[in-house]
Amino acid sequence: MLGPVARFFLAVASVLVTGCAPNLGDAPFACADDGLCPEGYSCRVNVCVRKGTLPETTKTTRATWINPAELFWFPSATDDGATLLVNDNFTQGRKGIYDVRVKTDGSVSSARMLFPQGDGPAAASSIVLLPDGRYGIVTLRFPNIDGDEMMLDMFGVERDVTNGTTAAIEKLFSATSLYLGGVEPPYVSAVIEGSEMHIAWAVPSNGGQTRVLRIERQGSLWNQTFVHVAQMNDLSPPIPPLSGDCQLFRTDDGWLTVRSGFENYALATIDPMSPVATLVPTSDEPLFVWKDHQLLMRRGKYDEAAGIYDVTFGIEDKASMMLTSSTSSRLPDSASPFVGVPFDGGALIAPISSDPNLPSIDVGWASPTEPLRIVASIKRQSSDPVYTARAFVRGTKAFIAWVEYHQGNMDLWVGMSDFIKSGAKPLVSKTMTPQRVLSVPWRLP
Amino acid sequence: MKMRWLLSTALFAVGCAPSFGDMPALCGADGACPEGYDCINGVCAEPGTPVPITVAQVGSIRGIDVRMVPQASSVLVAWQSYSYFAEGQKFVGARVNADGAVSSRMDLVGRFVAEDDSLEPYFDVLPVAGDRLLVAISAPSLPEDPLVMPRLITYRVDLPPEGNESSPPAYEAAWGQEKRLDTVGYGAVSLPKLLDRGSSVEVGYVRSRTTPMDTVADLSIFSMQQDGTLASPDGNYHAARSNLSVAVGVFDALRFSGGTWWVLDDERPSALYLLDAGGKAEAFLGRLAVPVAVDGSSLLYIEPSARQGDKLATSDVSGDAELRKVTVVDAGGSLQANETTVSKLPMIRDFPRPAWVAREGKPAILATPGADAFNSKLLVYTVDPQTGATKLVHEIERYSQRLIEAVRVLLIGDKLFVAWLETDTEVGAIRMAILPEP
Repeated sequence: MLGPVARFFLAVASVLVTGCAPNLGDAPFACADDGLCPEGYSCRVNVCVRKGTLPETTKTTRATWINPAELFWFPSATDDGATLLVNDNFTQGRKGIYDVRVKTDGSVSSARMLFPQGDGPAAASSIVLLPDGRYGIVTLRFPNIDGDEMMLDMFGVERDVTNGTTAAIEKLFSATSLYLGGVEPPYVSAVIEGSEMHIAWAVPSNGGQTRVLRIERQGSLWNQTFVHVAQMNDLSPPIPPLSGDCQLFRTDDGWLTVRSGFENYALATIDPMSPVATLVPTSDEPLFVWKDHQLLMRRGKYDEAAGIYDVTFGIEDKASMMLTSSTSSRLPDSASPFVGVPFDGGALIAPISSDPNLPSIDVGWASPTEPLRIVASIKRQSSDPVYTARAFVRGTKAFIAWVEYHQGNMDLWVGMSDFIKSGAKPLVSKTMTPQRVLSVPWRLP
Repeated sequence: MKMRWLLSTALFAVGCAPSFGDMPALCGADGACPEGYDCINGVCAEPGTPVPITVAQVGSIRGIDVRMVPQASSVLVAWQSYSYFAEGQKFVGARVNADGAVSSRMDLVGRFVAEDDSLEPYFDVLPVAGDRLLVAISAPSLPEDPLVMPRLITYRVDLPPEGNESSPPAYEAAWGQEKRLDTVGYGAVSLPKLLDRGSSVEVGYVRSRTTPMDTVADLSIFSMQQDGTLASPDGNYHAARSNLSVAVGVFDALRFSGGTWWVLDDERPSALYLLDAGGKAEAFLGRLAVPVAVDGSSLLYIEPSARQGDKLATSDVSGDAELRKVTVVDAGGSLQANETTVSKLPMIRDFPRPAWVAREGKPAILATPGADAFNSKLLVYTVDPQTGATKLVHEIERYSQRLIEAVRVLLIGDKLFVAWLETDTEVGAIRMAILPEP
């Protein structure tokens, strides 16, 4: 079915065919769904642009929604840049995990389908790097109409394949749980150290459980060697198991914590020797957890008319529950970092800003021993509302991906700036122009 | 459509002369159309073209959000505007007369608090007496609410008399407060279903909850007076859905003398047989089964043609549908459900759900797009519920290949009202055809 834009384009095209030739300008209208534009124009960032017009360095495709948990940065295997993996979970006909490669010279590859998922029910995902160099893609999906079980799978997927070659996908591990309904699977989370991987997922049956599986590589196979179970049914405030989104935090010294919940959160320390874990509700939004400290986001006063929260980001001492360092920020209610990314003994968080309009995507870094500071920043090109952002540091560069609402779409942007750990702002000496790499029509899942 | 009309005008102005099709544009404000075309149901069309009635242009709404209920001599089509639509969250409707006239749109429940970034509310409509309706609404909790539990409430709505729809309806909450019901997920909100029991009304809702060792569902039934006033602050709860999905809704309630069949879920459906005097049984139906009629302890349902490929709602289907019956029998003091096949049916897909009208002493009427959810025609059959004998009695030309998301049928007097929701990715329209009773 053609949308209004495509219909308008076709109508205008018919005008051209019948001999009428209005002046359409340099960038007159959106491309058709398949990128179609009139003669003399090419499709760039979803807009038909007259050939010869100064090109924007952008690559686009379309999908429906980008979950904040499903943006993953990795060091690129073939250069000094970074590769973003993103799960387009909702666009019929194009569901799958895509990769986008960013080089240190600022060039950005097209979004490439790495792991097609078909048009079946939505699948939650988490991605790690396997010791053999492949991506380890963990998915949790609802059954199709014939099935009765949710399926947790871990696949090994080749990272770098020749252009035109499809990456080989090997299923390495599976587990199932009774399907009890729901809109989409709760987020699944995986972390890895060497040949030992932990996967956290919510099992809605048995009163609701957060399970953390330890799976280990044994020869060419991966097998479950331990399971930690945290009951969810007696938490207050409650975390309903169908909304038991999981996020694992693993520190450099191996301290493992699982965060469970959506809107309400609880934390459980994963003792490697104990099959039982205990979820403890938290009134703040934990973004990363170390043995004795946690990085949190605390929402304060809410301006309902403006839709803006006062927010405090801080490092909390777990024993005293006192903030050892903090900074005040203001965020629109549409935006959240969702999670911190471990780096150099601390964690990166983005977006963080005192300006709720988020004219730039600032990246903060903090650790249990060093206070929060801005370590990278990229000026945005649009004023669309920001949904979430994810940062990654490699060498002297910070790579940043963020998602914006744009009318009925969600746009995924990437950018790169210098990384200055000592912290200063403005600090941007060489910032690459942000590039929109995905534009996805959204409808809430 | 309007854009195309303007574009056509522009083409004339610049000297181009394209050929008009069968239905080139909406009529002008005064019903004006190009020469040779009549204004038929608001569309310029060649004379005699059976253009469907456009009840409403709506956003991209869900099929379950289109309801059609009988009025004295017309039908009321109801739908909802989501909170993220320009006009905000409300429940609206329009009457359609037997001559095809569509009334002014009426706000049934003109304000309801719902969040843009949450699951959209669900609702059901039941006419109770005169021009009064009850509207039951369920919705997720609000963000600032520490309780996760979904909200359930019933409104009473007094519509203007038929023909006076320019006067606004009056509505008020029939309950003093919103009920809060257990849930196992933010998105686990049940469709509510209203049931007319003559002197009273019930609303059914599936709550889901956890116990220390289990995750369970209960059909929750709240009894009301005819004006929607709760008969008791507490509901009655009936355990259901053992080893099945629990985050489900109530899709139908079929009353018989002495009891009710409550139909839970549409994908993995079960039917809970509840006797007024006590006693219950749950029949676990085939995947995607569509219960359509009841005869005491027997429930008649359609087992649709099998989905193919990815087995999604819009996937192709193949094979005959079946008319099946499940009957509850007393087996040594406990109630058990036994199934039998009545007969084969033509190819019928599960999405959109086929619509069924039972008739006393006559074959039932069934409307469906058949095998194709994009079918440009809607097929109307008569079906003998005893033998399954089927006869195609009408094909409704839609003049559209948009996706059909919902089909509704009602018989008012000797007129069959067939309504459907057709959508594309951005917009939807509720259309209707009115046929003589077959």
